[in-house]
Amino acid sequence: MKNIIKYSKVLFLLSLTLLLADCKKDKFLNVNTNPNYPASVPVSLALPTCEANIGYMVGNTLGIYGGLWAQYWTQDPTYGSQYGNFDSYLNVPNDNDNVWQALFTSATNLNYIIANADTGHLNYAAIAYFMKAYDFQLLCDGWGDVPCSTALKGNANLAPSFDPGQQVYDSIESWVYSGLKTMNLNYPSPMEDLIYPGSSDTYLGAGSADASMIQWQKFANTLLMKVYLREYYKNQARANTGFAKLNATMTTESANNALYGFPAASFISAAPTTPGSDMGGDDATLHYQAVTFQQFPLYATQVYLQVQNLCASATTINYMLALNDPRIADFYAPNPGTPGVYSGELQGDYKALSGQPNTFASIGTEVISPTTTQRLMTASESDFLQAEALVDGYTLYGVSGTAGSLYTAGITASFASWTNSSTASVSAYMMSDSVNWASASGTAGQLNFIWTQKWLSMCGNQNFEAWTEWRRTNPHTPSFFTVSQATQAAPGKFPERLVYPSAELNDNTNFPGEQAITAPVWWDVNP
Amino acid sequence: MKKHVLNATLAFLLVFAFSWLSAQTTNVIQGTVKDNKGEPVIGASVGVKGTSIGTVTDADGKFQISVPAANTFIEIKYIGFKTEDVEIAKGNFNVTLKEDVMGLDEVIVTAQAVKREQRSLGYATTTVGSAQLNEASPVSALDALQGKVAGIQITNESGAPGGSTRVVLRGGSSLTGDNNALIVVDGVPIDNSNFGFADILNNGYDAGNRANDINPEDVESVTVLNGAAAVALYGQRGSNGAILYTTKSGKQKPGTEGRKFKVTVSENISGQTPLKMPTEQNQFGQGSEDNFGNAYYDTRQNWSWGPAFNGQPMYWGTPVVQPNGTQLIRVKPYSDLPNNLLSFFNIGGTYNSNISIQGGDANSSYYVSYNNVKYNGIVPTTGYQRNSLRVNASHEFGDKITVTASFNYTNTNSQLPISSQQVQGTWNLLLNTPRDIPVQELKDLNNPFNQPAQFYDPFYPNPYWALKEFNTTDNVDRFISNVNAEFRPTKWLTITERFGADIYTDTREQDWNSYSFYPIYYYQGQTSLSPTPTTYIGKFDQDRYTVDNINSDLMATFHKDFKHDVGFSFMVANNIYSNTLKNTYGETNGLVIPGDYNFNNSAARPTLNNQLFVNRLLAAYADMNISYKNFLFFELSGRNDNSSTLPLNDRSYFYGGASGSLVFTELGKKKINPMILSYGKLRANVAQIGKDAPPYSLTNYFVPGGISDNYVNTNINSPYYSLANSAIPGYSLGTTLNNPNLKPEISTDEEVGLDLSFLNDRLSVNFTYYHNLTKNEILTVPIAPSTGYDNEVINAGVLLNQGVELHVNIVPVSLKNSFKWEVFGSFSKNYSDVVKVSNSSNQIVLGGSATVPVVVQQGQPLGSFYGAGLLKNSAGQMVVDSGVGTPLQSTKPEVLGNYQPTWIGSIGTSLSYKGLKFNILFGGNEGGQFYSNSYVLQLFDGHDISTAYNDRVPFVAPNSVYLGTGDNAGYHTNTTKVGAFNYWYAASTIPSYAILPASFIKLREISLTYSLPAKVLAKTKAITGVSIKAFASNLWIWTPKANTMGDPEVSSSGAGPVQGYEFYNIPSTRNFGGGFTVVF
Repeated sequence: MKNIIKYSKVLFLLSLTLLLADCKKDKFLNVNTNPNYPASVPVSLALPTCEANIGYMVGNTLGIYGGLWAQYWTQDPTYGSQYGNFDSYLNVPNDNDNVWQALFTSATNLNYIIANADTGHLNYAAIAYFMKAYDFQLLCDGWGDVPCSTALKGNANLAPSFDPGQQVYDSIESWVYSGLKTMNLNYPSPMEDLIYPGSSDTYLGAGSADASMIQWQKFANTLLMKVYLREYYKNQARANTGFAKLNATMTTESANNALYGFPAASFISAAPTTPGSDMGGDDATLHYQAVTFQQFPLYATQVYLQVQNLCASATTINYMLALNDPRIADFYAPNPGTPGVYSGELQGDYKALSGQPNTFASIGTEVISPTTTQRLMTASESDFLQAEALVDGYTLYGVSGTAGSLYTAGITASFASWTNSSTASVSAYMMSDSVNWASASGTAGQLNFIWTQKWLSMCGNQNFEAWTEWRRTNPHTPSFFTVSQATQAAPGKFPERLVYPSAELNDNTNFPGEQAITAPVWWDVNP
Repeated sequence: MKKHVLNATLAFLLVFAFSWLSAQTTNVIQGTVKDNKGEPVIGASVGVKGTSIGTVTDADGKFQISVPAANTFIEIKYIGFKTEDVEIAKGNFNVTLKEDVMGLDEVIVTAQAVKREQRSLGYATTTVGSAQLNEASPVSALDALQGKVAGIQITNESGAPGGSTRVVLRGGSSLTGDNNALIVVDGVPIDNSNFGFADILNNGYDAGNRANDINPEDVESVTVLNGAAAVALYGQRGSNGAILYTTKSGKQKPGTEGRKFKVTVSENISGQTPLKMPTEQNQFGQGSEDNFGNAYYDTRQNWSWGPAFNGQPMYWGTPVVQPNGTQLIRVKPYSDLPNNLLSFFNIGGTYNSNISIQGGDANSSYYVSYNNVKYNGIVPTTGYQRNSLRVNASHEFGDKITVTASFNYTNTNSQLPISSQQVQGTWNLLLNTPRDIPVQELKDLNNPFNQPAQFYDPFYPNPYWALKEFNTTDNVDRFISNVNAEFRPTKWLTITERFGADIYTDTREQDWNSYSFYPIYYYQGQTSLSPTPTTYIGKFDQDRYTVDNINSDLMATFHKDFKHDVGFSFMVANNIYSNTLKNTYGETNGLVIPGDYNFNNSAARPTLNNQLFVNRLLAAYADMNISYKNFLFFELSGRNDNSSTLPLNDRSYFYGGASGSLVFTELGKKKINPMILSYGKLRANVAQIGKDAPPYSLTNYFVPGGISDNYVNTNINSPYYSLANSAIPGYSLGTTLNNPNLKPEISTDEEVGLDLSFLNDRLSVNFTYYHNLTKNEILTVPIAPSTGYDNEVINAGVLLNQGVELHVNIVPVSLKNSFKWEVFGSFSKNYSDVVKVSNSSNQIVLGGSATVPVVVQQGQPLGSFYGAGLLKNSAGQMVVDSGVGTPLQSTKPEVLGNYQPTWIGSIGTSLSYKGLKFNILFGGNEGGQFYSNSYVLQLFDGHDISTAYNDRVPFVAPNSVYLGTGDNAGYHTNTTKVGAFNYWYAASTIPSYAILPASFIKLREISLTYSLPAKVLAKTKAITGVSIKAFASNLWIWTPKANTMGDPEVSSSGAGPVQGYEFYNIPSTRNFGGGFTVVF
């Protein structure tokens, strides 16, 4: 009996132990739901970050490369050497991890929007399609062959293959068309946020409700035009069918627009009504605020480094001085202590001048300030693209002007968008033989004029696109670029691409191999 | 309903408890314990063998104990003596203990506070006693283990009191996670977090890790458990080994001279100076070098590429305009200042004061202590203060229930220097001082020459000014309380509940003033004002961590000694563990009013964030011990964990181990002559330990939008702004792909060891070999960004650690007159190998900078430096820039070094004679490398000794080639002379230059203690012990010549996995001082 009591005591103790371990076990252990972050968000909250991220990369990392390689800027000789490597045509895999990651993670979020936009949010999906196309065009223009068809599948495919550039461009084209198809103009009026992106669109959203989706339509049409022109020298047949398809699509768009009382389909056309801030007009832009963590990243970098690392390149300064281009006062700040005088450092001469006091013009405050507006696609750019398409012999839906008038419109739109130049006389500028359309001789001469003026119009803000267009144009235009004094590349060679990032090189078993910075991308027939 | 069941159970328990209490019959035994000199042994533990019944001897060595009728033996133990078993039936309780030189039969504390005899353990342990621990009056109980335990690797961020200490046993089992050993105080694991090393490049400060809150003076002994078998009962938290601190209780020494208590007062005061300063050139001063290799004087420069010193008077700094319009400028000789940097540092002062009272009677004991540490740092304005109060109390309720409770409150306050490449980084500012600019002259901030705008250097501010305007503080309030209740209902059953709560708040604040000024440049006699102002926007930030760590163990232990000398015990237990971490972070973005540090003074929307992390464990564990006689021991343990962080259906996992030991000197009837082999033990074990995931690793989530290019302050945070300036909030998917199918990770540990003592314990050797394989670690591995994500959480990775540990102790002389000479040493060699990272990746970046990250690289030891090396041809010759002559860097990054030492060793000796004791301990690491960003700067600035190579006359880089082009293709011997600046500037951009050898030898500790003889003190009637001491730690260091920088043990990232990464760290210190202890 005593033993039975003893053992029952033991059993009780054991059961107590087990009880504590068992009875409230689930309640105690079910604490693994993240209390800090949501598991899902409405698509209206996903779109802004994609737009801001892509715009940031265009203005910052890609903008620095473009600024140096489109020869607007060069490394300042006096202090620091932050961008010396890039100005020496040294681009190493590590340099490109951040921008590559940003563009791919943005695409993941854009896919989330496309997949999760219900019938009430179709316009979010449409914008996501356009942005994904824009995003992949940056990737494809920067790096050539990039993962696309097997990309963005998470751990379902840890080794996406690198698709040929042409195939990526085909996808870009198809996404724009998918976006146009998805777009829904039949929204109730007045504007209702749930149906219409409105206030959660950082690029075009603050325009009037009526205009905004039509502006996205213009963005899409212009993007397609840009895609086809990029393919033109590589595969003219592809461009031909592309333009035909675009014209047909714009016809359909116009009919659809009319149903809801909107004007006919067009390209980005209206220049900004407020220079500097880009208020009004059709330009797709990203805005910044003059406070920490909201300011233009290149400005923030400068403040952070406490040193101005960039100064004017002689390539652009000399050309602008020759043309007496009033935009020089927008794009640059005069030489230290000498108002009105601009001189540029010979591209990449920073090493030879190392430690010497800076006597060169610096970057203008309109181009690098806390609130600089980042342009993604502008009316001016659209005008120049249209002019080129017309010179190439294409007809464009709804475009009644001539190549010459569109060329003039491009310059005018550019002048209008910069504070100083907006009050300057475009016609005086146009008098110059190097600018006056009438003095352009033949197709080659006209293209040269268009490309050179487009390059000038993009100075300091659309650098990456300017560098890309310089690579694309056949022959390279402007032709007066000089090889950097600090070049570490093969003699006489210019940068023709970005090198693949180390994250891809290290972690993708299908990585095809690194490319030299001087190796042209697929559409570049003119290395 | 559940509640009722619980209540009913408790009621039953109470009833049974009373029935047990009343059912026992006992005999009372009285006796005396003396040592071999016939002196009474005070505080010896007297226990009834096979039970938990016990008491201690009083001041006269007397004891009285109630022994249940059924028991046959009492057991008498005292540290330093062999344990005696006395058969009750024989009736002689006047026991003489025999001295045990090695303490091999020591009763030591093992996992879950189970006290066991050393001989019964199947795994390696090291125990360090209070005296040995406090040899050099350490402030940190972790640092004090340096060189005293084989297989332990201890590194400091700064070596300064309050700084963090990383303690890794056997190389660490985790590829990317925390490899610090578990810290246990009185049986309850305490939190040892080390927060705040996110941005070592721009804002690195060392707020320490929390195990440093323990006052070493409170520690009675420390036991280090290196292997998995030893710590399996702690489960995953013990997977990196454990360090068990046992704090003092009144039981150990309940006073002398018939008093029931004693009071101990001690005061130690020490000074600190930098241990190792950079080796700099003393030939060239402030200035620059033109394109033709000609040095020129430039008063604006922060580098020393100027002409050779000529001792002539020279202007320096910028002129100050007097009220009357004239300009004043400072003049100094253009000559070297060899100790310039050193003169910046104060002699640090550490004041370490302790008072404790301990005492007790037959049933109760208590220990109360108060500790105050005040440290004035070597960097002006910095320091550390610690106040800690401890109360330990224990009471026996009858002979069946013992309750022990302890309470510890600690408050620490630190004023911290910043290690960073920014203007707040003190060491950065100092290293950017030309060799001839007298740092001392910059000290007086009221001097107009030292105003920010006037400062000679347009790039960096005056270091004294920066210390005044940029302040970082840390304040920790911590409560640790434990309750241990032991209930012994029968002689064969002990039930123990041990509950511990460790709760603290750690608040860091940064008060960085805003300031804007137009720097004045003075160059070639001309003064000009910078066109753009230098602006510090200022900030106030507060980073608060609140940690709640709750731990409960309920254990039932059955023990029985059978006939034929078979002992048996079985323990079954459960463990409840809950850890809650709350972090609240706020930061102003610019200050509106300078000097007003408040969130509401933010120039822009403040950055705010709060996070909550909860992880919990429910575990059941069991442990079985079987012994045969006193030479064969076997232990089997198992533990089943249920973790909150693993998938619902997969959160329960089991693991365990087996260990055994054989004391072969006790084998057989005929004993081996102890003069030859006095003790021999063979031990072996195999064990597994499982481990769960970090919280919230199973599902993906969205984060508030933030965009970065990896520069500070260039981030864009949500909300963004539209054309019309309306705020647009945004979110984005986290870039890490979480994993709903995670499994627990399992590491397997195998260990064999041998403990031998020869010549009557005059020579003893402990040897251990171990092999630890961790598989399927839960890792966040990088994946190709083209997958749409940057990282993925997976079970992957294979990490192997194997190695040997060796302890040797020799007593060459031990005389009757109490003279004793002891020599001791330890050696450990760990071979670490990252066998595999994951299927898609062979590298994980742990941290560091983009150009030289610290990585986990397949095929390398844990913790490699990865970056571009020198470009070399196939013959191994350096390839230089054709026509320029500067070194080039290889295009492919490679492994440049590793922070794991090849081996770690220590050797020490002690001499004692009567009250005098001298102790010296050397320790060192061989092999391994460290990254020194300061060295990069030293090359760039022309400060390092190597930049004076060839007296800065242009030279041809030795054994170099260049790559020709065209007709001249191929490598050709380089003949191009290069100027010193161009050469070293190019070298400073090549990452491999910054990798320095990490070998060192240090004089870890040296101390001389004198204790006054008891008969002198006896006259005082009040004072029972006085000892005075002189001590020093890290007094001297040897490093290879190639290390012209600093102490390789210093690392910027605290106790985290990024080690050997020096990023403008303040030099570590040597510490020397003296003190006294008085016992009343």
